[in-house]
Amino acid sequence: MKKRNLFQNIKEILIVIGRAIKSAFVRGFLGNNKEMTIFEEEAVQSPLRVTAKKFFKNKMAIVGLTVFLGVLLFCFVGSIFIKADVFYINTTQGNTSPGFSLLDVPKGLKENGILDIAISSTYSMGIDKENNVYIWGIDVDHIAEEFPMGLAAPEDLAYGQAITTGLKCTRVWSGTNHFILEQMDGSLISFGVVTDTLSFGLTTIPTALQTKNALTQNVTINVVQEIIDDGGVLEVIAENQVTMVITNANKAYMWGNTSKRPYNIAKGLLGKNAVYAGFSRENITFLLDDGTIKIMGTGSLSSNTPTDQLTGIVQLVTTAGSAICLKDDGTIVAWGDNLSKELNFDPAIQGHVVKISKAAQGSDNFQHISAILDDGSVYSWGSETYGATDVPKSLRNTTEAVNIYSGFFQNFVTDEEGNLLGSWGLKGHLFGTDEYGRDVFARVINGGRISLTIGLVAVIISTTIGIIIGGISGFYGGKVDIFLMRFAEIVGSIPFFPIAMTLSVILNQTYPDFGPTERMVMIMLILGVLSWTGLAQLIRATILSEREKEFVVAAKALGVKSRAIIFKHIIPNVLTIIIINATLSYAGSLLTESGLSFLGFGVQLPYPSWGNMLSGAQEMEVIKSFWWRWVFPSIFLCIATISINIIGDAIRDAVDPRSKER
Amino acid sequence: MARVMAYVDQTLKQTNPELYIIQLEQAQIDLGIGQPVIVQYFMWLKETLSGNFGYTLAGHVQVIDYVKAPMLNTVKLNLLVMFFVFIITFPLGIKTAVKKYSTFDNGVQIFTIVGMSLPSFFIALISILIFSAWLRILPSSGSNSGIIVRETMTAFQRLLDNLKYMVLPVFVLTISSLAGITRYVRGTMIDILQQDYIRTARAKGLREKVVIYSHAFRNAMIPVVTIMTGWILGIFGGSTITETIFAWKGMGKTLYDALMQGPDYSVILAMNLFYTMLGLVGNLLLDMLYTVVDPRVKLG
Repeated sequence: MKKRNLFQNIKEILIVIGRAIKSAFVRGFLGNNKEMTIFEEEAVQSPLRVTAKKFFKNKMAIVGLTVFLGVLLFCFVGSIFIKADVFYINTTQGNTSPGFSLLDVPKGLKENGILDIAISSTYSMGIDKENNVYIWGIDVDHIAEEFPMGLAAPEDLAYGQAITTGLKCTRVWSGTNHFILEQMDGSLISFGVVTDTLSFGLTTIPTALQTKNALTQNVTINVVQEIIDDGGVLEVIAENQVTMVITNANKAYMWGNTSKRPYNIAKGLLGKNAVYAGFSRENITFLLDDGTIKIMGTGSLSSNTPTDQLTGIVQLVTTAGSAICLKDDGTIVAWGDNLSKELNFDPAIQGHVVKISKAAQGSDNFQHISAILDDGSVYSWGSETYGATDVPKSLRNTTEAVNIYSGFFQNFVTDEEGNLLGSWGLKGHLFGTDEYGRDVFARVINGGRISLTIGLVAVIISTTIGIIIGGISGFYGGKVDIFLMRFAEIVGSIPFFPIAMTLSVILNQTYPDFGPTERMVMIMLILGVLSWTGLAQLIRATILSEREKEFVVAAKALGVKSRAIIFKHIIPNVLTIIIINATLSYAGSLLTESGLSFLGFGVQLPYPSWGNMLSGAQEMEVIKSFWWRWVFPSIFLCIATISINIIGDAIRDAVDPRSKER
Repeated sequence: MARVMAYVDQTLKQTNPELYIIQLEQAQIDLGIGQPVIVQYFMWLKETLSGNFGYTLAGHVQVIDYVKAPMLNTVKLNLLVMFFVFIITFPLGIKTAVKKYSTFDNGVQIFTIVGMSLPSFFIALISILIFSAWLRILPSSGSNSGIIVRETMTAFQRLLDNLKYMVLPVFVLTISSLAGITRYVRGTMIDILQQDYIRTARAKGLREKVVIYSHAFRNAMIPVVTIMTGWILGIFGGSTITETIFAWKGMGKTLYDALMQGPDYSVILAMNLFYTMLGLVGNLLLDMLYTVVDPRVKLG
């Protein structure tokens, strides 16, 4: 019963605030700005109205309010449209710097005509018809983590450009972080992170490769010499840290990090002629010259293989868990675990496919396949992340598409002459990505929503407690007052941060099965319950001076209940103090929440908040090289707190009768 | 349970398992595990009041010995911060109050609003970026160069070494508490400069300097001292973040480590106790300070 009354009272207060704001807006925006003298003003207008009017005359206040509302809208409305997948992990896209140059094909390449394009995690390499090599994209700064001495980072793109200038090449293939180029004389060179010993730079093809032959004997092979002997390279297949070469004599050699798929290729291919191959999570799949498939290993591809359909195959594309084969009659045979929806293509394309995209390796579960149909148009299916399958309308309707190059989240389509018809997919990230490849922009928006909500609820909690305790203490006085104020002093004398950290850890230990929502509620409660003391003392002091005033005496004389006097007569008069205090402590609680989250005691990762997005910045490497991971969230946090503080200041100026205007 | 584990030296588990089990059982009896919580509480209180805070989980050190050095470090750090804050904020606050609404004042006002709104860890990250990463003149983490290097140093060099590691934490803490105090000093000074006795002093023909520093400033100290309580608690609590970022061995870092590793309840309890004590002692000192700045107030 008592509780209901309390809520009714709060409701009444809210109505009062609402009316005040409404009238302020009416006054501020709909005219009636007739100048009045101070005495007229005081006679005609309520103090709240005067305050609101003065507030809206202050330019700084308007700027602050606009900026804050902008941040609010940005975070709350933005988070409806831009969802952050908190569990998204794709380290191939990790620590990408801000920029939109992933699809920016260099001018020279466009003008001279495209011969070949290969796409790696965050940058691509192309060869024009005059055999010049081009490289574009965004620096792969996650390599910097593997090179703490700063050998490769963060200028590796410029480094790559410097290395490849002057090279004349005919074909290019890409792995997750490296490229293999075929030079004019048929020899190979590679560039990037190539082997398990991680060499970045222009690296050579192994001349002493330790491997096993068909009789499982250890042999040492000079791959460079083998390529020359076999009359050049037929195909190169590369993936994360691993490279395979198939020579023109249909022999396959694999080097790099082979531990994931430690198969004896020579033995498996004994008596067979491989023309192409594909890496999957645990398998290596070979396309043989008789149009059939040979699968090595016991992964998702080796079970439920539609062996009877696998004849007359002309092209093979493998993803992490699936394989897609193009048959000579233009139909597609696909099987596998379908984690990236590789099997969900439109059945209408069956029989019309001319060519499927070269490869879509790397980044498990985020893979797509693009195809050119017999009418010269382009079709794409698979994982829709970052719009990798959103073929532009012009390409869906074109009749000129001949070649298609796709990989990771990028696609490039060219016509007969090698002119670029179009490209689609991921252009880049506005604010870069964090260490797991999550978009920082999306996390800033969603983290902002969480931070602003937690701050707001915490302030509402602390303000409510402050009003109730301060009000009771100030009005009743006596023993209640002494008891409540000593209690407030005890709570207030405990340093805030240590106790909040301790409470957070102890509550997490006590309730280990708390979900993310409960933990956020917990943070709100901790912040709210620890920070009401200042307001309570302030309200008590104000009420002590207010309650001696005539109107309260009059109300008492009329026999109004004491609770009604507090909430109906006194609280509205201390409302301005409450508003100022709540505004300023909103900024404060944003800061404390982010501080707690920064240290790991607030919102727990992977759920974003402005504070915990910075927690990666406790490492020097992140502070220095991956600045976008901490600069953007802190800028938003600062903008929000600065604008809130300006608003609070402006309200105080407006309330203060001694402020500038008088 | 964690307290019981901490009570017994964990290395015994390997070296002498039988003694370990005996000690573990003894620890359960000593700590009153299984008895009502209220009894346990009073047992803990009795031990604590007699100076026994238990043992740390890792290393089995007496908590009191474990936290002694970090506590001293934090007190030193915060005293330095207070010193710098005072010598910067008071002149600044007075000057802005005297030259109210001048360009200088407006500039400082904007600066303080921004300063109030910047989280301390942002300032810390920026200063690490500038002083440690770009200029490479100051260390970004740790509280000294380490035992190996320090063995070769003279006492004076060691002091310099300590100071070098303190520069950035002190800088960050000072910057992040400048704004609030400056604003407050300015506000009270403005109030006081409008008082009648200031007008009287000016009318007497006193020099402006005397009016401001002798008449106005003494009176402005009174409300400033009031907010000092909250502020001192604030910097002791707030240095937790700064210490953690700079891995500077103070109370905050010790508490952070205790919370992160374990959690090590004996250390956590002791730290929180000390924080509260610090708060109370700070309150008491400030109450005494009142009598200094305001002769009208008498204690007792």
